[in-house]
Amino acid sequence: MFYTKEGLDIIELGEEEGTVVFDSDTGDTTVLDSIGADIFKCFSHCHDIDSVVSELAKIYNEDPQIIKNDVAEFIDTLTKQGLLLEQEE
Amino acid sequence: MKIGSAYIEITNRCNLNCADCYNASGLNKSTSEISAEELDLFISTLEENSVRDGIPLNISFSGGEPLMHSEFNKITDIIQKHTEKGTRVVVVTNSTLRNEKFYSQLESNQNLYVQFSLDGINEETNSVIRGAGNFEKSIKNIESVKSYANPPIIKMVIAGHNFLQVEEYYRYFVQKGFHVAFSFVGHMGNAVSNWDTLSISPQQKIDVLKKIRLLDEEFDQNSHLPYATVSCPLLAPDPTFNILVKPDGSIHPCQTFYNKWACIGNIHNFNETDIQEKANKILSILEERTKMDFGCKKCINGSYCQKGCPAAAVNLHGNLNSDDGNCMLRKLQFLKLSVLSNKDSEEKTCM
Repeated sequence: MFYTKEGLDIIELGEEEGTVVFDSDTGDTTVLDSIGADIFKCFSHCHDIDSVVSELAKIYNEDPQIIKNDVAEFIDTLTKQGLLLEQEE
Repeated sequence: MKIGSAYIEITNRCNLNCADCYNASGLNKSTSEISAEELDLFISTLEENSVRDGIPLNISFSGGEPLMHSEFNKITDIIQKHTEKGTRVVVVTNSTLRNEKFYSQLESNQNLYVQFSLDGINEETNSVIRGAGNFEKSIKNIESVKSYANPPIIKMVIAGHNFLQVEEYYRYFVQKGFHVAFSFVGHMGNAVSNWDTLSISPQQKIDVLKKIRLLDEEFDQNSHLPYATVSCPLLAPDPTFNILVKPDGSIHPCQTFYNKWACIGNIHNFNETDIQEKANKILSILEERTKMDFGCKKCINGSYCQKGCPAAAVNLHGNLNSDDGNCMLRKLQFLKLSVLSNKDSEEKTCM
C-alpha cells in the first residue's frame, strides 16, 4: 500500500507548467508534469497500484497494462524521494 | 513617528454606489466631512514633521467622492497652498463629477496628480461595478483636460467581470499618455456581498500580472502591479507610516486597517506622542502575528513570508490571527513570477 507523505505543500502551476511538491522536512522541491501530478493525486485517495491504474485508465482512456508500467516507474521515483511511502497492509 | 503619506477621506459622501467599493460610501445616509480648515491645519502639521524627519510628504484626497465635499472649492485653494510648499497631492476621484477650478489646476500644477477610477473599457463592463451611464461621463471628463501637468492615473479594480479586459484597457490609456494602475478587489465594504461574482482565482491573478508585466515591457512602463503582500511594511525597522484619515478625523496606521480597534488618534486633537504609543501597541500585535502558523510550516514560502497583510486577514476573516487569503497567490508569485520578497511588492501593494 502506498501513501503520499503528509504535510507536503502541493502547488498546481497550470496545465503546461505542472505541479510543484515541496517537502518542508527536507527542503526539497519536486516538479511533476501533468501526468505525474495525476498519478500523485490518485495516491492521495487510492493506495494500491491496481486502483490507481484503474482510475488513470479511465482518465486517459488507455490500456491499463501500459499505464501500470508507467505507474510502477513513477512509484519508484517518488518513493526514493520520500514523497510516497510504502506501508504494510 | 515618521509619516510619509496620508490617505485622507475628506468626505463620506459619494454620488455612486460601486459594487466593489471598500467603503460602501454610496450607502452613507448622513454626511461626515473633514472641514477645509481642519484639513489645512492637519496638512501643515504633517509638513512640519516631514521637514523635521527629512522625508517628502504625499497627501491623497479620497472619500467617498472628494469632489462631493461641500467645501471643495476651498479645498482646491488648500491644494494650491500645500503643493506650492512642495507637498505632492493626489486626488482620487470617480471621474463622473467636475469642478472647473480643480480641472484647471490639473493643467498647471506640477505637484498635483489625479487618479481616475474606471473599471472597464466600455459602458457594458464599467456599469457592472460603477452603475449605468457613468462610462461616457468619465471619459468625457478625463479627456476634457487639454494637457495634464502630470499624466493622470487611470485605475481599474480587477474583478471577475473585467479581468479579461486588462490588456485592452492598458493599451487604450497608455497609448493616450496616461499611467495605468491596478488592484484586485478586496473583501471589504460592498464587495463582501458580491464576493462570489467579483473575486478571481490566484491563477487568474497570476495570468493578469504576467500580462501587465509584458505590457509594461512593451510600452516601457512601470505600472502599479497588485502583487500579494509578503510582509506588512509597518513591520520594517523604523517604518514610515502611510496613515489613513477617515471622514470623522480618526487616524489609522495604514489605508487598509479600517477597523475601529486600529484607530491610533484623531486629527482634531493630534498628539504625536500618543499616536506613536498606540501605533507601537498595534505593531507589537502585528509582530506576534508573524509567529503564528497558518499552515506556514509546510509552505514553500515559509522561510521568508511574514504572513502577508494583517489588515486583509481582518477584512477576510474578521480576525487578525488568520491568513490574509493570498497564500496561494504568493506561492504562484514566487514560482511563476519570481517575486520573492516585498522589495517588488511592498510599495505597490500597500498603496
